[in-house]
Amino acid sequence: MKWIFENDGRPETIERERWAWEALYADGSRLQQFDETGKFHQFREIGQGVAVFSLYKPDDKDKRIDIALPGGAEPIHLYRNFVFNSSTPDEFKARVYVFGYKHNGHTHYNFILPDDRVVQATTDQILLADMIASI
Amino acid sequence: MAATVEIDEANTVSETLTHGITNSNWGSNDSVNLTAATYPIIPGDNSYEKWQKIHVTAMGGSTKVNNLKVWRVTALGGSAVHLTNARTASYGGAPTFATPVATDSAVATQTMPTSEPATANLGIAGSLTGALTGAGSSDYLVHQIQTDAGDLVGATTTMHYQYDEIA
Repeated sequence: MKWIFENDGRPETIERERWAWEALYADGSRLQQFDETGKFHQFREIGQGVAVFSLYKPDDKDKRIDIALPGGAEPIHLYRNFVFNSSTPDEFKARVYVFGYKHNGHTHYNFILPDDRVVQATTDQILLADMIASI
Repeated sequence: MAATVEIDEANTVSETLTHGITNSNWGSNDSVNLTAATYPIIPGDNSYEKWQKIHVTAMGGSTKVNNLKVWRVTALGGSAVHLTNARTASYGGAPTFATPVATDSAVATQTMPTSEPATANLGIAGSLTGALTGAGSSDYLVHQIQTDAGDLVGATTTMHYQYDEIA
């Protein structure tokens, strides 16, 4: 299945991520990054009123992490990309899925490493390169 | 889908830009993708500066790329040092391209980190907190190897990069 992103009126095909996000709202509605109609949604479309923010593995739906957000919390999501041995025959790339929330001046982050190990922290400034290199 | 990122390098007085370099070898010549054995650095001399950029060629559905970090790993050997403009504090802004030189770089004056920096050390639009919201490039990453007369040939080192992407 392909997912389409309407990029300023120009449809763009987006490949599904290894881990995808899903926002469940207090009214029971939900928004999925890769929805069931084949549409791709950007994180900025999530808006307010998220009750549960989740990351799940589309190819292994038993693997998911759900965060029940405190009232008023804002979800956080980004990809942290590493390029090791850049521009050499040994170059390899790794993608860390970073998600969590901020609330009342505090932040909580989860980092899903390439081997699906999860690291938790209260800051996004943690050093991951050595952890990834050891996988 | 991930943003598409490549490393570009500019050479000569004409700022000739090569996209998607295949190596970052330093040498005694200002050329891209050079063969180190063809352009060895005489112990005591410097390499030519490398003027490179992290270039986002397509956002792939993402809205922002930022938080750039660069560092190298493995020892250079001898007393050689690897200098750069990249730094986590007192960042000097986006350097204006100048013909790469083999004299001591006036731009690459900070020691290249040998482990992952704690925070961004390469800017976008002159700022470490800058971001790309469409196709574009980082500030120039300028770096140079400065060797010592007692150094031996054969040392190698590799570059690592990190960047954040908001989808």
